[in-house]
Amino acid sequence: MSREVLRFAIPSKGAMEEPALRFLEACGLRVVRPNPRQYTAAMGSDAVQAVFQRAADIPQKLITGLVDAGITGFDIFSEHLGEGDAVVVGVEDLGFARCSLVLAVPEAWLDVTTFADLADVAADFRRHGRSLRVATKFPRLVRRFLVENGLSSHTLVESSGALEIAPSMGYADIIADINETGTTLRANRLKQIEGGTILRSQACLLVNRRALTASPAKLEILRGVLEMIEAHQRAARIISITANVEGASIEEVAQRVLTQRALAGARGPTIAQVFDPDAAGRVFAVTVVVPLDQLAAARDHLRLCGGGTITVARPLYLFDDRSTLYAALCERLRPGDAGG
Amino acid sequence: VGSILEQMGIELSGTTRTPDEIIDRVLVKARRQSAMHGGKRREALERVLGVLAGLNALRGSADIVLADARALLAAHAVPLDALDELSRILERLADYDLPGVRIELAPGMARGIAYYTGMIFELYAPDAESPPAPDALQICGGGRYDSLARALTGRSGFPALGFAFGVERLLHALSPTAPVLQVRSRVLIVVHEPEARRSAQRLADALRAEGTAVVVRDADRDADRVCDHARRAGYDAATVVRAYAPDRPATGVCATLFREDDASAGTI
Repeated sequence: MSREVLRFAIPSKGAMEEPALRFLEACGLRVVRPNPRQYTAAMGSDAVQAVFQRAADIPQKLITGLVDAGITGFDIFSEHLGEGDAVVVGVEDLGFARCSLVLAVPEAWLDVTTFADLADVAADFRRHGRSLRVATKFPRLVRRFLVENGLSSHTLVESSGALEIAPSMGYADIIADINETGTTLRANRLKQIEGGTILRSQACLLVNRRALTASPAKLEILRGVLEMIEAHQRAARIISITANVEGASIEEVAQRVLTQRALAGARGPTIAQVFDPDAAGRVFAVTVVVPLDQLAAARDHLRLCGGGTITVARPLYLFDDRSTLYAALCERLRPGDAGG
Repeated sequence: VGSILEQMGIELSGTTRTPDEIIDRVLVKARRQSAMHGGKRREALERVLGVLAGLNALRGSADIVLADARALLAAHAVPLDALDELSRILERLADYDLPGVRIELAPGMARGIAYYTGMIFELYAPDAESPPAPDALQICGGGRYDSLARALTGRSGFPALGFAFGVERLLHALSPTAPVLQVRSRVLIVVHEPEARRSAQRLADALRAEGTAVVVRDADRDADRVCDHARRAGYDAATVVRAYAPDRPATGVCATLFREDDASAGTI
């Protein structure tokens, strides 16, 4: 019997490819792709096979079982898979490819600054026998948003090309499209409106429920991937600070450092003796691991404790006693759960 | 406005709406906003919301709620017609003399259906708390919907009142051992004047206890025509109940009866 391999889809040929590869590498899951025309590669270890696919095609590959897991945008997931339960979310916030699906109207529509204005204009249109046409690549998300917000009188114009020109070309009145910085919208004389954000999105990790439920081996490989991602994300939020402190004994130094419990590390400081041949008294290296935003406070505290030289290091990974992401995924994979 | 915007270098063309359409709505919006900022409208709106919130907070025994609602509406100079009507309904309800029935008013109640035009009501099983818990057994609900007939038929002038019982809920509330009465006959009782209503109701109760289906209604036609009407409507018997009067030879109840097997109507 051949050893099982987890097939893992990675978005390729688009804006998400580079950040995805960089993210995986930072997680210790480097993808080695010898040449760009090759569609598979090893990821981290031989147990994971990276499969390169266009971000928009990944939902389909997951549903049909061609891949077991993969990374794509939460927007794409919501549009294509949000209501089924064949695919479940493994990690919802990978922290890159952040963008929003927004409604945008022509800048010339001076009277339209809020969603309520847009609904008003749609009502005007209807009185004159017209329907507000919205060009989008995300028809399901857009329709649901408009209907839920009371703008049911509209027509969706599905388009996969450059949407931004639709209003000026006249084949739609407004658009609903992915927006990162607003530059493209402005260049095409479009503007966002208040209350017009349909969905906030970022890259997420998706899992084929059937494949992972059927194969404990694949689930175990995926656990390894999730552990690395989680450890990377946890490590990004902490920092390790080491100061050399003179003192009488380990206990005496520890007492000084522990006067500020919150700045003395989650389980207390690590203290080790430094053998300095030139020092008159005894010197100890005090290491505390604190949240990133506590760096300055911890530095000042260690100085007050007598810290001379202070070095700061960023941990690459932080493993807890168990993986929360894995536990949450197992919970979602349980039969009967809608997932996502 | 168009030329001002043009001078300011604001381009309005090149979209699917004409510059005039956009300018018109800018003006409409500006007018609407200045009206809002004028304060009057907002103030009025807040006052209305305040009264509604006050009414919504009331719930409990009819007398107390009615008095509180009167005070609240009077304080805001709201006409009291609706409360007067509610009082009349409650007076009539009192004539039914329903032992073990608790009547509560809840001005904030809503039934989730838009066609009601007046009073709405809900019936709960006797063990329901006050206010009823979300899972309390509501066995009936209904109310006044005077404009429903017009909405359905396009013809106006049909005041209407209706309700629906949940049959399974009713059975559940009645417990499986409750006796099921066999309806033997149908009787119409016509109340000649309001003073006779209590007597009519007692007669109805007695007949119902024997398994007779009884409809009680106010007099809206002459006594002889009551018989005709009842016969046509398929009743087995009809009776007109009048109040006691010393100058009338009969006792408190004066009834007109007919039966299918009886050719002529008789009087007791």
